[in-house]
Amino acid sequence: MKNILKVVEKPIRYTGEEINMCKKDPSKVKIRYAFCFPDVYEIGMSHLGLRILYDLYNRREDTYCERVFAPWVDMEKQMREHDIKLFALESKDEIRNFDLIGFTLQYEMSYTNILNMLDLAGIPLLSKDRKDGMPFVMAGGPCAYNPEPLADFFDFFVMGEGEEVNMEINDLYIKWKEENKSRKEFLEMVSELEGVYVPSFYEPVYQDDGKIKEYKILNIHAKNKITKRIIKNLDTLTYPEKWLVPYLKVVHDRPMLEMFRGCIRGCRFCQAGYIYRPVREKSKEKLEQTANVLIQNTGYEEISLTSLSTSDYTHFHELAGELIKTMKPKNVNLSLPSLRIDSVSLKLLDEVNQVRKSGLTFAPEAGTQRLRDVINKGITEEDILHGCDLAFRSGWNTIKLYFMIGLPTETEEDLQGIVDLADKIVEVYYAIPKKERTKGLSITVSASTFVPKPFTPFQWCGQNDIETIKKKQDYLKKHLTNKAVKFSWHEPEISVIEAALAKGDRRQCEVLQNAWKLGCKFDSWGEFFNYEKWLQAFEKSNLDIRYYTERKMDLDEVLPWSNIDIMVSDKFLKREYQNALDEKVTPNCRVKCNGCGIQDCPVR
Amino acid sequence: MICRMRYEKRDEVKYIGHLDTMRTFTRCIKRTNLPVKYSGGFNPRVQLSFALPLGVGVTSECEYVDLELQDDADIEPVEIVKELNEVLPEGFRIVSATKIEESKSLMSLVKEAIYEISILLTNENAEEIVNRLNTLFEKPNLLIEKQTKNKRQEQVDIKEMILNVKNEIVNYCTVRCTIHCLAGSEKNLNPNLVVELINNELGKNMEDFEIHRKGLIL
Repeated sequence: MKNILKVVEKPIRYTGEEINMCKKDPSKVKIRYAFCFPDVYEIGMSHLGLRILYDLYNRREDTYCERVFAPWVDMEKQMREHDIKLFALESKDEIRNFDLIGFTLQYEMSYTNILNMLDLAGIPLLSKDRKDGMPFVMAGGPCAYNPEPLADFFDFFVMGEGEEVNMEINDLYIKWKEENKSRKEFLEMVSELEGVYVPSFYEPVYQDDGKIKEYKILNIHAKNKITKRIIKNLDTLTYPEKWLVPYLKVVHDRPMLEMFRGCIRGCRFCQAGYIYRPVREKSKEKLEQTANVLIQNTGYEEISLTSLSTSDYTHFHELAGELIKTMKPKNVNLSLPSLRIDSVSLKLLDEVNQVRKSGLTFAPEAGTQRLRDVINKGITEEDILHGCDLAFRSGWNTIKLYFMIGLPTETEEDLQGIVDLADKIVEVYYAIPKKERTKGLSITVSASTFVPKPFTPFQWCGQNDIETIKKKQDYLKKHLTNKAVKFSWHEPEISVIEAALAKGDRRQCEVLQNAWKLGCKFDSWGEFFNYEKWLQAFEKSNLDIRYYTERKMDLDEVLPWSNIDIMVSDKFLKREYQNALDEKVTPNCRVKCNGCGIQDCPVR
Repeated sequence: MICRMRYEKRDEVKYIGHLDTMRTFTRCIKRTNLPVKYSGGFNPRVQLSFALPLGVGVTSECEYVDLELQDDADIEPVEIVKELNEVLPEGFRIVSATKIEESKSLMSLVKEAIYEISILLTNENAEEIVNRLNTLFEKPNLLIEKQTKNKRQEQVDIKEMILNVKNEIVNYCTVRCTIHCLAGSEKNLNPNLVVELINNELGKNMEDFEIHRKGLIL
């Protein structure tokens, strides 16, 4: 091991020992837990969920939670050559001897890395092949809400927020171990916990046309529906105050202060907007206190506020003002991501000096008001143009605009809308007297490809085929001609695979295994993604990828994720789908409760 | 006022690169209550200046860093050493500190360095290896391929940068080559080139070498 570190890139990805790392004597704990992030260190260490659960597990005396990341390809090669099994960062012990192995599922394109990590660890890929004495492999995170494409690889899944249920699982594990019961009996025990899904207790039955007929329940302990877990009062939670400080520059290299969970907006394409409901805020006092401890414990020069939509925190301006006051004397910056741009927030940005006066970002997502109404993106052209005008007048000269193409009901008019909006922003800039604006206007129009996601009103929608997406991209390339406007886009192939996995069913487990065997890994990294291999993987299993990506599903069809309940009702999602087709806007949760089905919602 | 400190970078932290080491020091200093001076401007920073960067994987017992203190700071160097050693990660240790009034940048003061290159033997005879190394370094030219900044290969003669060499047996499976060479911003010998030179001669693996910076001469 020492020797291979000498020949790999960035060896500190694998050495641990960061400031605030948890050190325990492994012989003195009852549970050894491996928290696995299926991507490289710099990405995994930027994930808040890892920080929260690492801290929570390690507050227990009976558990030692350690971190595992996907070794980069050079490291993997060395490990395979020298027969070094996947190890945990803290103790360097092989994780195949651990009790519980937990993966976090943040994005579909990390799935092949999971298989690769299990293989590197020397753990059988398939749940059914794991024997007594081997660890249980579990998963959670946003992608767990459609667990089916991964069903064969995991012993169980956890739905929703993990703070309580993961602790309950640990308690059951200790009990199970003391009672010397079988593997199956442990799965039966956890399947009785609210929020735990044991896929081997459910069997999908298919119709002749390939659609799912039903799920057969194979074990009396298994529930009909698995309801996600949430923490009602976030102020009761502890926070990872012993924040790990990586040596390497990671993607989000600053402590995160979580303000609230959930989002009041209800954009119809956004999965996070539904699965994290209801909105629950932390108190301002608690946040201020936590911020100070985080800075004291880490020595970071910046702290960021974290949520799905910064400006929607009820007492946002008071909180920001207070934090600026306490952080300034310590020479600590406040980072404010995803702010809605208006005069107040521009003043605030000025004050925290967080953005160099260059880049401001707007996410209209669609080019016309009609399509913005379809997706329920509550931002108007006037908002954007007014925001730009203010920004230009206070010194900004660079604007980034995020759009999605391939949205349901999109026409050429909507594409032209993107072009028109960019041109109007240019006009706004030149309408301002020369003395009052900064030279060098630059507008970047960035267009990603729409991916329908489970548990959104667009879950029934199909995706545009590749040719159509490419034609739409070509349209924008051709028409975005203004010198100040730059167009950036991604190849749509990766979004196609993402859609297939997002909406996949259990038959895709085989596809995933095929893809991994063909060498697919790090699929979210452009340099490794190989579309041809993925197509081959689908062909090998005799599955038509377009069945998953392009097909419009029936509203009454059994969805692959129908065993799961996110507390938002199916009726509501259907109503929102219809509202989308009717181009009808649904107000945000604070304006009016729209009856999404959440019980005891604190916003109502 | 500047506090000039000498520190060690041992095995546990040798894979932390130069930029990451700088960040680690900054964050550790911010966790103390030391009266440090911040730079002006929009992003005030702790004022640190390091001497010659140390390569990834190289250990050292002779690293230098200058820390700028507030003008009216009333604190003894020993106290600074004590406070910093409490927050620095295992493997980093400040060994001494002195106060100086003003200085040119540390980097510009570096003149020479001493490296110990340990060679792990597999089944070679240690005495024979020492003899081969002695012969190697006696050659009039020591040519080695080096990649230039614009990614071209270039042949350099490192002989002129070597001031002194000593090859000796440490134990039956380790031979040590101690190199005293030019270092700093004008002429600098990268010890990895010496390892490559030795490796070319002995035909071993890069994994069989350990580099340690024994001294830095200001």
